[in-house]
Amino acid sequence: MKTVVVDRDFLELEIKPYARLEEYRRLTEEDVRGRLLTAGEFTPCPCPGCRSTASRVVFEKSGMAYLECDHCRSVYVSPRPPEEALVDFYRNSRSARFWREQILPETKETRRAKVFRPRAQWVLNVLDRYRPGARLGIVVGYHNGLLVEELARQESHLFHMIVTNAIADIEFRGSELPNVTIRPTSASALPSLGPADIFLAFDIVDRCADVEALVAAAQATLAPGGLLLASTISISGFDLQVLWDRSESIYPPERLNLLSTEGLIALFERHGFETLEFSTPGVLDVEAVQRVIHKQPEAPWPRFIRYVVEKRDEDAMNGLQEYLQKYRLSSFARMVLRKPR
Amino acid sequence: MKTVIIGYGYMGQIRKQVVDTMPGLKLCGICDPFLVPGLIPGDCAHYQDYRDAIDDVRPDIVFVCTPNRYTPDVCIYALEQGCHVFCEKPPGRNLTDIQRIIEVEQKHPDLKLMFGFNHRYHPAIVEAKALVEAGRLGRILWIRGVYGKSGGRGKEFEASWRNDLAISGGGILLDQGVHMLDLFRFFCGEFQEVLGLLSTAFWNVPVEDNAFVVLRNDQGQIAQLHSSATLWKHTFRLELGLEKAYLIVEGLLSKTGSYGREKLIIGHRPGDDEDTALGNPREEIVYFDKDLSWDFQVRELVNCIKDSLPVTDSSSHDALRVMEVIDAIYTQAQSKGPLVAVSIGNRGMQ
Repeated sequence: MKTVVVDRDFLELEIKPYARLEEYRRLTEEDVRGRLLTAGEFTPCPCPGCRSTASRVVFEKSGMAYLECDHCRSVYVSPRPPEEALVDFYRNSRSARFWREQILPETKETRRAKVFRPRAQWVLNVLDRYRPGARLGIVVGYHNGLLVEELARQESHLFHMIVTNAIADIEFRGSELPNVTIRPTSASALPSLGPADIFLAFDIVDRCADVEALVAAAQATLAPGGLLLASTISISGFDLQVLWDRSESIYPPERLNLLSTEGLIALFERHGFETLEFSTPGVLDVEAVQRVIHKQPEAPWPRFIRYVVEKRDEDAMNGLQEYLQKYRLSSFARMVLRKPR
Repeated sequence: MKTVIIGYGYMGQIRKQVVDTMPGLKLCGICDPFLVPGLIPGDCAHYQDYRDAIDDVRPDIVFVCTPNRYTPDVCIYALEQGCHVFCEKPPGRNLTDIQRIIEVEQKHPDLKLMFGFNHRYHPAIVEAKALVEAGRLGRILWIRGVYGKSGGRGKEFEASWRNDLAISGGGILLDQGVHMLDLFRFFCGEFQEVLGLLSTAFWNVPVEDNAFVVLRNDQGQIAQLHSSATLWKHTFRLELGLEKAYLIVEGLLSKTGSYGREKLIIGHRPGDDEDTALGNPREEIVYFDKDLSWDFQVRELVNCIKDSLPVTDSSSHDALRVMEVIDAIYTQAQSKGPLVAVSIGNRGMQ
């Protein structure tokens, strides 16, 4: 297994303008309470990482209970809304539209340059290393338009991609990319699109109602030796461990599953995947902690953490962030997993 | 397949671990005239003479892990007895030694002969090679390597057989630099010109403790090596400059971990439309946890044997070519004239 460390070359502010983000969070809270909590029956679930049912409520956000698994320490929402309610939320809620129509266009070029161009490079490097000659890729998850564009831009002979998320028709409206098919598809129907060489599941494990079904679908969709590339927010990361319920990154419905490192490994191993890479190349942990401590100085923060983020310079912050990456302790996790041949 | 290990020092013990864990291989004998009592394995026969070991066991594969002086004789005997051979690097003391081995190999085309250029199989090298081969990063412009040891405790280092010219045939260049030269070929293919400078800068040994080598090939690619026994810190660093990126392999997973955590740094040349600060591009650093190079290489040999495939990696051809470079450098070092690059390639056997 390998792990990857990257430079920090942007600020969170560049991709998430704070004023806009405050408004987005306010709308999300309203939408969750006014739309999601009343949308169908909520279902309790075991830990999405290790499947243990031993857990306890650790905090609540927007009327939803977050549980911590006694076994693998993953944190997750239970009971939770059904997938259909989530799809409706992402298609029609005011907050989702605000994200699509306000925040994304404003930050589009920064996201392209700082997030999606490197991600596309990484995807292509992974393919060169483990699956040269790939012919079919399946893309699940939301907001992958820039990634798909960058893949097409960087590789003129790119494999055929099928973008499957339930709002892809909205996200890709007016976009014509060669070799890209838009086909919203439920998890259970994904295997019919295969066999695929690569299955891209970025930023979906954390917001998916049924992770088990998603990973099972990836397994069934991939050809033997095919690759699953996934990224997610992980509760094992520095900012989430320090900030915990005060973290601005933890809110429903985008963060239903905050799997720990151990939970993630258990999840993918249970489905027979071999882990080729497990990295936490996040660049925003320290900045997030710094910002929240600054906003809530009266909260009982660990003295050392408060001292470091308040008194030390940018170089020390960058060094700490690099340390977190090197030892897989950032909250942004990504994995390369291979289906056995 | 039955195996024997000839030479049970540091490398012989590593090979035993590989054989013991690889399905289909069985270690049946070990030969070493100086077996250390505490290290003698109890699960196979022991021999003092390699010929007895090979005659008695009739192995399928012979692992040659001897000091350089004995390498050609053991390889040749094993081949003549119908055994496949895995031989540690370097392939003897000099060009003549590898030429002798190849002469016998050519008389036994059904037998497989592989040399221990295991660095090709290190995870960071494998990853770098895959990135280069994919072509996305452009053509290799240049390659530069530093490979060196601390020298360790002085007396032990000076007394090592590796620094005894009659046994080793050369110093740090032959012992360790050979790996880096092999990697240069692995990435760039053949080189046609070589320029080398040797020095015995510090240690009281009759061989070089530092070598500086520059190579150039027909594609205009230039390679530079510093091989040293006076770095005072175990160091492995291989840099590749490509048209659209640079790759740096640093550290090397090893038994002791003394070369540092193996990593591959990938840096992309900023595009014209990117605002990355000039001279400080974004980098990705890939860390690796596990060295399976020993296993991968032996598995490759086993597959060649099982499937009757030619050995195309770490072959006798690779060994010959790298020894041609080293021979040219040693020849240059002995000449008193001005330093000029010499042509290499096809100096050995056709």
